[in-house]
Amino acid sequence: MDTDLLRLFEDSLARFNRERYSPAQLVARSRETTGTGLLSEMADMGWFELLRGEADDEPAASSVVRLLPVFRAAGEGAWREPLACVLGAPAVIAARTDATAQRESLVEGLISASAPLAYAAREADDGWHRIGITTVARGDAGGHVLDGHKIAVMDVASCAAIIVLAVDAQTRRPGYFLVARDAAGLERGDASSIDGHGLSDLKLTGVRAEYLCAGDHAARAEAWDAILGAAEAVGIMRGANRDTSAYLRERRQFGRPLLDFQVLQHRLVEMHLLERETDALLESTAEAFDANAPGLERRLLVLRAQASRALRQVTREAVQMHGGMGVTQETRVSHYYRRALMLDGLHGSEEAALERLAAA
Amino acid sequence: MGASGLEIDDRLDHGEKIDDPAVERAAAAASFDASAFRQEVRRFCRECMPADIAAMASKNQYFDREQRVRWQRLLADTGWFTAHWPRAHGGQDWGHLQRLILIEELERAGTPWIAHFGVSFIGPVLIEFGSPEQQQHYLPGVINSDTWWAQGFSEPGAGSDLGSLATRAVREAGGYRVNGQKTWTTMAQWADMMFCLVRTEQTQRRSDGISMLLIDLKSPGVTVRPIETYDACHHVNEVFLEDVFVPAENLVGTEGQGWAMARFIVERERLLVTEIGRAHRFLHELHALAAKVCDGGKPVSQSPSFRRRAAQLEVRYQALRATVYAAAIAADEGRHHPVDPSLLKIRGSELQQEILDAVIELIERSGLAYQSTALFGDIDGGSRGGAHIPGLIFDHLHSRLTSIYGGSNEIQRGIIAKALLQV
Ligand SMILES: Cc1cc2nc3c(=O)[nH]c(=O)nc-3n(C[C@H](O)[C@H](O)[C@H](O)COP(=O)(O)OP(=O)(O)OC[C@H]3O[C@@H](n4cnc5c(N)ncnc54)[C@H](O)[C@@H]3O)c2cc1C
Repeated sequence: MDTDLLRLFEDSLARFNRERYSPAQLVARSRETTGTGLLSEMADMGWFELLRGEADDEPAASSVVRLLPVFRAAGEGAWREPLACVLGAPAVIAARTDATAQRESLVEGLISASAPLAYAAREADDGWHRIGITTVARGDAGGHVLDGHKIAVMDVASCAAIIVLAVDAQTRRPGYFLVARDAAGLERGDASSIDGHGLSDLKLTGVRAEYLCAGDHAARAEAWDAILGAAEAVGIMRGANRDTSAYLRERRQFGRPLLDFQVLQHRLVEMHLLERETDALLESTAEAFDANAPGLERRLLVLRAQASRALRQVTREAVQMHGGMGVTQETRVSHYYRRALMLDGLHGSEEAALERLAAA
Repeated sequence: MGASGLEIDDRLDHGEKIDDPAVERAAAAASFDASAFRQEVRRFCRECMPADIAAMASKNQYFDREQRVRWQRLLADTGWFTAHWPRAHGGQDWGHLQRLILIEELERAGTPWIAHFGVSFIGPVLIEFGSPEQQQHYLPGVINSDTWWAQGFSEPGAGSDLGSLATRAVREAGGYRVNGQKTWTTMAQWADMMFCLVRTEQTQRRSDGISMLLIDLKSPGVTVRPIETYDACHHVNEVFLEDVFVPAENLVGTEGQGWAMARFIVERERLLVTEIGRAHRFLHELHALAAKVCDGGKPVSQSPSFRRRAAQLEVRYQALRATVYAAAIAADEGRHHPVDPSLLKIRGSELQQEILDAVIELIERSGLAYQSTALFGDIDGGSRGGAHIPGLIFDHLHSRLTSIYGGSNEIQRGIIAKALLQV
């Protein structure tokens, strides 16, 4: 995208946040169960068209760089929509589905937001690693049948179907399978997450599934997701920094604005530095990802560690500097704080990334 | 030393003296045996905690008013509840040290948090500043927990800068007419009475015009409205006061003494806000979780980086524990160090936050399911890694508040700077 187009695009995202995601609107939305929220409105703006390949022969979900502005805006606005079910890992898998007709229909369902997809990869003991997948796929005459358990599947109730990572009973090779949301033999333990998303554990007993593609795409799909998560983190930091500066300028104690106190200024400065550094690292990592540059695995861990640390510090500080207001439902930073915890849960904490970096 | 390094538990049960010699000496000087007393409190918690409360404690759940009152009454039966009060008022003249041991052990056992507003705040204020009539009228309700008290200090415009409070009390026949708003009033939805700072006079020094009134929350003109917080649990409120009549006999001390009473409360109670027993409990949770939660198929407790982090937390915990005991002993010997309350508030809150940050990192990989109903025992979080998980998420969120309420950590650092650097 050239810079003028990018500017226009960012302006329209910013306008959306002003008009559709003001703090008051956020509070109102946070009282509702998420559902698909404003997803179709977002699709109507054409934002999800960004999933399409730029050239005819380029598959969908090839460029993560193009999606960064959307996820920054999502972070800043504290969107509650199941955005990752449209633009995240499911998009990567859908776009790499072997069968042409199915691939096209899945991708169109995402771009139009008419058929978001849930992503079920994680199992109880693997943390952020996808090793030792125990969900098993058996081929039979009509296709495949799955048995196993998945945890922490986001927003299933808002999705048309679920993408499940499972290993082939015979070859032990991992593959991705599509399961209908209401398939027979699928038991769902539904809860809601700390930031208001649907969160389910799945038990699959003889569930019919369609094979999509090889599990080799898992690393790419989850790296894609993690980069978008870092973009969301940058957006949250931008919002938290802006909200906190504005609040301290406005809030008066001891006869002056709190922003007059130098200790607070310095901490705000630190928060801005963290935002800037993380954004720069995000851009360079996303470009390296799109270009399939060497050393990607390490770069991704570096990004994860930085995004996690920066976001946790910024959201902690934002809450603290808001005083009691910082933990109220009506203040956006309390939503930022919860989302920050969730992003760590989805993509891994700083500690987890550091441990893998140190071991590598 | 056990896996957690927190071996203090085990040796006590073998009848050893586990307190440091300095603590044992100070206890002996106050005519009690520290280890024996500690043991007694542990036995009480084990044997006398009602089954429903113990079950909820094991899941870190949130107690309701009835449960808290029931527990406080059991404590009152032992005489411990108000043991820090003077004998003349139903206490036992305990010093800081013995109370610290009591509270530490109660917290470690996960018993319901004692609502300090009555027994630790207004009770001692009335003993120190109140009239004999007020003492007779209110202290029994504090001792037997019949009266639930709330603290009405903060206002929308007066948080850190409490001296700028604007709630006005105007004298009229037989009493005062009060107008204004309090906020962040903890558990006011359960409260019968609120001790309230009001402005009775515009004075040159703002703090001179502040007085303390005891306000019956059932009075006409009082409205209590919940504040929605991010933990989805109702514990703080706004309290609106509109032409509320307060009888003259509900003024504590004299007009203008309110500020001194606020300081009296803060200075006496900072040892307890260290919450060293809670820190211990959370450290245990951390180790228990790490042994269960796996990453890449192996328990996190086996990871060197986790063990190192846990070791760091243990060092901080031990340093703080040593500090709070030293501060208690010093205070009992009349060597009160002016920065101690602030130091303990800062470090106590930071330690809790750091431990609960590590805890949440273990929980978050299974998705952070959170429904506040689970806090009250309504649903079983079985499939989400244990019924105690929502309570730990609540505790994590709550830990962020510990550096805000009761005078924020920034304000505490300012106080220390003033005292230490004389700036
Ligand atoms: C859960 C909870 C329970 C509470 N319960 C009660 C209660 O029962 N009764 C009651 O009366 N009050 C209660 N409070 C109120 C509490 O005491 C105040 O929140 C606290 O004093 C901070 O005030 P504030 O929230 O207005 O923050 P502000 O004073 O607006 O401060 C905002 C930020 O600026 C910082 N700041 C302020 N001044 C300075 C300075 N001079 N230098 C540097 N930094 C500064 C603060 O540290 C904070 O980080 C409760 C608060 C909470 C959150």
